[in-house]
Parts: sequence; structure tokens; C-alpha cells
Amino acid sequence: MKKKLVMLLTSLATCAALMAGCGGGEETAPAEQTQSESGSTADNGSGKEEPLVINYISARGETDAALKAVKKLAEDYKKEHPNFEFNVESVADRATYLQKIKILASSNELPDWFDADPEAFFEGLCRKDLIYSVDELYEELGISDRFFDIALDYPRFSDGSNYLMTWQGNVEYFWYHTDMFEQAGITAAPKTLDELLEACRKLQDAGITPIAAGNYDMIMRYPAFKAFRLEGNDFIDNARMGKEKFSSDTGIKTAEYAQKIMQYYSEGWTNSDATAQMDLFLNNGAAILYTGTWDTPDLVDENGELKEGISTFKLPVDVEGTATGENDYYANCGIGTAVLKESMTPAMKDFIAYIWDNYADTAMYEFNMLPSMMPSNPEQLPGLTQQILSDLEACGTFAQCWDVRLDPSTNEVYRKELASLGMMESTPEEFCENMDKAVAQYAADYFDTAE
Amino acid sequence: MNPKNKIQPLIFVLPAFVVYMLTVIFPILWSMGYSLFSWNGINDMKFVGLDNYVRMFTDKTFLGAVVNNLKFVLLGSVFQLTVGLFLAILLSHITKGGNLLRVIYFIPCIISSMAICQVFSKMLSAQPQGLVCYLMEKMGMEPFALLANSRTALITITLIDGYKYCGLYMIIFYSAFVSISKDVLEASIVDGCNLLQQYRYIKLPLIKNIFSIVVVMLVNGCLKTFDVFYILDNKSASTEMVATYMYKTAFNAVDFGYGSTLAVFLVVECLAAVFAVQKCLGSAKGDEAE
Amino acid sequence: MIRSKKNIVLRIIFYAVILVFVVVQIYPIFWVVCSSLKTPDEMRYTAQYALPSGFYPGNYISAFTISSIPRYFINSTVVAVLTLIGIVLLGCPVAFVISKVRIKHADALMGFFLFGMMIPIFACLIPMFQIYNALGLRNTYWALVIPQVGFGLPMCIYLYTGFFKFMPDSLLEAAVIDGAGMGTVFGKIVLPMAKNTTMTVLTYNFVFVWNEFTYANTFISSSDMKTLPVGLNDFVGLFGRVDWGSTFAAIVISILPTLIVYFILNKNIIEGMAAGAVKS
Repeated sequence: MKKKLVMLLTSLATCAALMAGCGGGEETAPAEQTQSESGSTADNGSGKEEPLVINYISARGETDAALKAVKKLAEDYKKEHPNFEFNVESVADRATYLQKIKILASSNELPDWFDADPEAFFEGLCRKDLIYSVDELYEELGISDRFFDIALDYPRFSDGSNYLMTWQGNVEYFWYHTDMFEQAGITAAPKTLDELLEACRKLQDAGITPIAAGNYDMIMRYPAFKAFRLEGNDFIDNARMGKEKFSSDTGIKTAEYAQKIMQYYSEGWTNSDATAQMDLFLNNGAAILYTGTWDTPDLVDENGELKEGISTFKLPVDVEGTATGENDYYANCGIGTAVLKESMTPAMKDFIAYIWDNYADTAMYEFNMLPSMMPSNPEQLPGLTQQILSDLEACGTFAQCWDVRLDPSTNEVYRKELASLGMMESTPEEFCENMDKAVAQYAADYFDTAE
Repeated sequence: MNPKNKIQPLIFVLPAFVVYMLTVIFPILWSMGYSLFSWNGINDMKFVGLDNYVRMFTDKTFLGAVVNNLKFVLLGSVFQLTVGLFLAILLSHITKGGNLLRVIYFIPCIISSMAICQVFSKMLSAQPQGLVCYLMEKMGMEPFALLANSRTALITITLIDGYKYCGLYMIIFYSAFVSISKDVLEASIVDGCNLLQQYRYIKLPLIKNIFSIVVVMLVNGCLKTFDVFYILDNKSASTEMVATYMYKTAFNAVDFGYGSTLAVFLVVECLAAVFAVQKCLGSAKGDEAE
Repeated sequence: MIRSKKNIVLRIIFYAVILVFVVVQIYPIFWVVCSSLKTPDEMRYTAQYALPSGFYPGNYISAFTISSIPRYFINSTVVAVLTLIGIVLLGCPVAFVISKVRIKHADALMGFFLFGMMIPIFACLIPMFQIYNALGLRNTYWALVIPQVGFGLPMCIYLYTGFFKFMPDSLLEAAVIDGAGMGTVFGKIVLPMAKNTTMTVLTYNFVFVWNEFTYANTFISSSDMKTLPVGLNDFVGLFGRVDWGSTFAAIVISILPTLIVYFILNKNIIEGMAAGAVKS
């Protein structure tokens, strides 16, 4: 009898808890909303400072220097503004992060701040007028001219609007082992794309794995090399909307080049990752590594200078294609941060102004990360850092990443098709044809393809 | 037994019913609704009728995924069933340290998929060289990355997935073996049954019921398989499963409409498969029960 | 079982096979423990299958400082316990009613619940998110417990009905004649007899609940509420670079208590099985 009672009670209790959970939820949900609303609107009653609560879902990991710098500044800010709260949720795994943001977006539950790349899905959000224009914001705060040009241009959509605050300055280099190049009889760093192929062939002949590959984000850069030299960013900007075909002359050439160079990748690249490719390179397992300057901490010694025997060269030029030159290469500003329009209050602007007043030096000198604007006293920085900073400033046209420009559906096709292209399972012609098919099918959902 | 009144069974069923409706039935119906729309989460939903279904049957990636998935169901189920059963048999003959062994054999099940996948992807990596490639080289073979090669990737992932989950089926089989009455076994020994005969004529027939449960669990689980394939993705079409393709469609390509269509297909596929399995195994069992 | 002398060869083979399996099954955890003790340089510059040169606690320190593993552990435990209790408490009565109580449409009810087995969780993610969001359940344990109970029910009911089929009706009828009500029959006779199946249900579901990632990632957005599988992502750095040393340390921290609990519970499972064995 006792047992029966206990059973009944527990099941009743569970029900009750469930019901209470539901019922209570319904009541608390609007309450929460009003709270956050009052959090972002001015506090009319008392003369106290208006409270500011920022919920930020970041794609950066807990260990990320940019996020650490922002968090630290938020803490400093809180000391003077006790009503301020900065809640960060960090979702470092990119696929996981994007899944989360997409669900939040489709349910109209985006947080005040979130991270995004200037890609088609985010562009859709901006078109719906949900995001505060960063150009406007910087204008109001009067800080536009303090950023590197690229920090403002990198996140710009093709119509010229900008909705993302960027935190970093990155240049992408080919890093290589000088002794391996010597061993293979390569006297000078490749200047042209063909020389790069030639160098890879020589390395392979000398029994050296030419390229450490694994980070798929980097692998997805390769197909753009040739096209970028032949037509600049126009190629991808047009091809993604179907205005130019991937199976055009340029498209086929770039796919052919990609397929050729992908044969020099380390074995198993489709299943490798960023950590493994770096380990392979540092272990002298491969001669060349193509990556951005966010990886410099692994490639420099304790003084911040390049490790012995490692050198760099920039994206080679092309004899045939001269639309872009040696000062045009891949550079980026990392994933940017968007601010919801409805969260943009005077208090929010005050905080953002505070961040940008202090960010560059905090990031550079406390967290050793290249910021999106010139830090003070750059001359006391290590030589390599100065070189990167000057390359950031000097960068003319920066190459667009295809995976950022393409619409999300076509991008999925791109990832797959690129793998089969690289594994020699399809021909450049097939690759281009499938890309065109995908664009024809999907692009219209995202871009105004009619002209 | 007969219930005293109509309310009593209702009290027993209702809580489960409510939770189940709220988490399973209602969302899947909702999702089926999505499958009739074209929707990317930002733009307005556009009613497209059965277009998504038409598209599905002309989508090469999808059809490839279905074939891959069926291969996996076949290989994976057989592998996990055999290994699980084999381990259970081994365990049931252990007299000392059985407890410890059961824990050890169960370890892969409780380690997160991410850890297991990481261990294997390091072990199978060719550059930097992992254990398996090292052994390949020692045996005079040209080492290559099993996971990255589209000919070997599917079978390799099948084995990894099987390795992770076979402990589960081992436990289920083992508990079935243990619950077989000692009297029956002793009687059979008296009758001169040897070990093999014991399994052939007594133990395996006695756990037939468990057997069919496990097969249903396996087929259903393999059809919906996701995590190991998703983590060890080698970007090629050779390891695409229906569930991974659905996930990528819905959340990477933000094509919620088409993603829901794939989900509906998966539901129908599972229904059909489980029905077929039940039909095959059920009829055999039914004869005996009558 | 294998006792006679002529079987000594067989016996050696038998133990050899067992040993092989032990090595195979234990290797991943051994590998993870070894890797968690390696210095970053060792991780990078020595072969991955090499043993660590010494005891390097740095990864464990960072596992505790960078992410709040103990906190995640508590969250995971709470969610697992609530979910397991929920599944058994809700599922077992339904299975009992379906297979032992004469009601109309029992088969339909069974089919209705079994249908859930076929549904991939991702299919329900977006609607579920919208429901929980509207109900204000996001960022609560319930948001993780309810869906897992819901999706755990079909298999649970399936396993229980499988067992109840073999439970003689006469036993229950006798109790009813003695004047027992449905609740008593269920609590006093059915539930204790089904101990074996309950253990199977618990074990089966624990494996999935403990490693559950999708709901935890989708419905939780506060660091205090993260579960272990989600917490393991704390060590992913810029552009997909992962601090594997710390990740492995976190994995070791997260599985050791589980192993110990499982080791202790395991004995109870055997006792439950032995008790069940007499009856079936």
C-alpha cells in the first residue's frame, strides 16, 4: 500500500512539476521580456543611470584573445557603471554556433550581440532591418577613420553597406621551411602561381610532402586563387548570382589550377583539421602551410619573431591574369559582431564607444592579438608584427572567400564538390557544371539575381 | 486484468501521453507542415506544395545518401549484433572478474562520441602518422588515410560506430543469458549437450525475443545514425547519410523546408524498415508462441 | 563451464580472446588518459601513440580554470537522473496498461508510442525550440529533460511490453482476486518483477542521455547550465584550433566518476538480473 502511495505521489509530483514548469513558464516569459525591454529603454523614474544588459552569443572560444579583451573591457566598464551587465555565451565550434544562431533567428530570438560573417544568411537578416548599421554607428561615434580600411571593407556587402564590427586584422601567408626548399633545389620563394606548382612538384620529387592541408576553411581558398588573379573579386560576385558561369573560361581555369595544386596536399586532407595541419608543418612533415596570421603564436619564438627556418610569401601573382597584383591577397578581420537595431540605445552606444577607445591597446599589449585598428606605439612591436600591420595597411583589394560569398545552399554543394575535385573523383568541368546547377537552383532565394 | 474503472488506466497513460505529444508528435507534425514550404528562416515562408518531395527524388546527393545508409544498416547491424552477442557469450563464461570486464567492455559506450572519434581519427591519420598507418608501413604497405579515402571511409566509420555501440547490445544479450534458468541448462548437460549444442538448441532460442528487440533497435538506430558520421565527415559523398544530409540541409544550407522533407522521408523509411523486420522475425516467433 | 582437462587449450584461447577484447576496449580510454598528461610540445612533436614522458598536470589545471567542469558535471548528472526517472516512471505504467490491462485500442496506443522511435530528433528541433521558447522553458533543466523523456519513451515502452508479454496473467489475476487494485498490482508485483528490464532501460538510456549534445546546445544559452558534452567545446580556439590536451583532461574528468558509479551499480544490475532470472 505504501509503495502504491509513493508511486502515485511521485507520478503526481512529476506531473505537477511539469505543469508548473509549463504554467510558470508562460507567466515568466512575458515578464522576462518586459525586463529586458526595460533593460534597454531609459529608466524614466529615478535620476539613476540607465541600466544596460547585453546578451552576447559569441562564436569565439573562451580562450580567444579578442573575446578576452572585450570581456576585460566590459569588466572595467562595469566598475564605473554598476547597472551594466555583459553576459557572454561562447560557442566555439563554428557549425554548432551557426546552427544555434539560425534557430534563434528563425524564431526571432536573436541576442543583443552576436557574431557573423558577411555572408548571405546574415545579409538576409540585415535586409529585414534587424541589425544596426555599423557605418552609421561609427559615424555617430566619430571613430570611422581609426580603423584599418580593411576592417570596414571586409564585412561590407556588395551594395556597400556594413553591419559588422570587426575585431582583428589578419593577413594570410604561405609559410614554408626554407631548408626543405633548398633541399628540393628551389632557390627563391614562388612569385607566380605557376612557380608555386613548380615548387610543389620539386618538393614532391625530393620526397617531401609539399603542402600541409587540413583546415577546410583554408582549403576552400585555393579554387579562388586563379580566378582572383584573372578577374579579381568580380568573378565570384557575379558567379554566385549566376551572372557569370563557373563553366566560363575563368571558372574552368581556376578549377583546373585548384585540382592540380590539391594533388600536393598531405595525405588524408579531407579528414584532417587545423590542429593536425599545424602539427604536421611544425614537425617538418610538410614544406608549405597556407594559413592566416591568427596562427602566428605557433609559428614564432618567444620574442615574437619567426621561428628559425620558417619564412613566408604572399599569394603569388599570375602571368596570365593581371586583374589583381602583388598587393592584393587574402586578408580578413575575423568573424564580426552585429548589434540588434532594437538594442541600440544611448547606453549601448556609450559602451561601444568605450570599447573602441581602449580595445586596440588592450588586445595588442595585454592579449597579444592584432586588432582591427593601429595600436599605439607600433614601433616597439616585434618585426613580424610590424610587417603584418603594414601588410594590413597596404592591402589593396583583399580576396573574397568563396564560402562567405556563396549562398548557404550552394556553399554546401561547394564543400562537397571541392572534395571530389581534389580527390580526382570529378573533373574541373564537372565541378563547374555542378556549381552552376547549384547557383541556378538556390541563388535566387538570397540574391536579387535579376538585373 | 480488467480495470476497475475507466479513469484508472487513463491516469497511468496520461502523463506519458502529454509529454510524448509535446515533444514528439506535435513537433513532427509541425515539421511535416514545413516540408510543404520553401523557407530559409528569414524570408517569408512560401507554400510550394509537393515540390520539395519531387526535388528529393531527383537529388543525386540524397539518393546517394540513401544507398550509403542502407549499406551502413546492413554492415553496421550485422557487425554490432555479432560482436555484441560474442562479447555477451564470452562474459557469461567468465567466473572471476566478470564485473570488472563488464565495465571495461562498456567503456566505449560512455565516452562521448567526440572523444572516440578523435582517438580514431588520430590513430588512422596518415600525416601526421597515426598508429594504424605506422603499422601499415611496418607491414610493407603504402600507408594511406582510411577515413579520407572514399573507398574505405564508409566501412571504417561503420566499424568505429559499431565499436562505440556494441557494448550496449552486449549488456542486453548478457542480461538475457543470465536470466536463463539454471535448471534448464543443467538438464541439458545431463542430457549430454556440448557447449555448441547448448547455444544452438537452448540458449539462443530462449533469447529469441531479445534478439528481435535488438534487431529492431539496431536497424532503427543505424537508419538514423548521425554523430559518428557527422564528426568524421570527409566531405565526400561516400559517407553521407540521410540524417547528416538532413542536418546539413536544414542548418548549414538553412533550407528548413527541404530539410523537413528529408526528415519526413527518414520517418517513413524507419517505419517501413521496422515493419519489415517485425514481419520477418515476428512471423517466426509467432509460430512458436501459438 | 569449461572444466575438463582436454579443454585446457580451449581455455587458453578463451582467455586470450577475452584479453584481446579488453585491450581493444580499454585502449581509447588509455589513449585519452595518456594524451591528457602530455605537455603541449609533446602533443605536437611526438607521435600520438607515444606514452607521455611524465606527469604533466597543466591540462587538468586549465580544464578546471578555463571551463567549469564540476559545474557541467552537476548539470549533466541532474539532467540524467531526472530524465531516467521520468522515462521509467512515465513509460512503465503505459507498457503495463498496454499489455496487461484490458482496454480498448491497446494496439493502437502501442503503435502510437512506437512511432516515436522512427523520428529523428533534428526533425523536431525547430518546432520544439519555438514551443519551449514560448513556454519560457529555455535555459532550464526541463528543456533538456522533457524532450529526452519524450524520445526515450518509445524504446522504454517497447522494452517493457516485450518483458510483460512473458509475465503470466495468472499471477496478476490472483492478486486481483485477493482484492488488489491496479496500482497495487503494478507497484507490488509488476514493477519488482520488471527490475531486470528496468536496468536495461536505464543502462540504454543513460548512454544516450549522458552524451546528449543537440538539445543541450540548442535550448541552453547560459554558461551555468551547460552540460558536459557541450562544455567540451570550451577548448576550441580560433579558426577551429582545438586545445586537445585540455579537452582530453576534461574528458577524463567527466568519465571517471561515471565509470565508478557504473562499476558500483553494475553489481546491483547483476543482483537484479539474478532475481529476475528465478521468475522468468
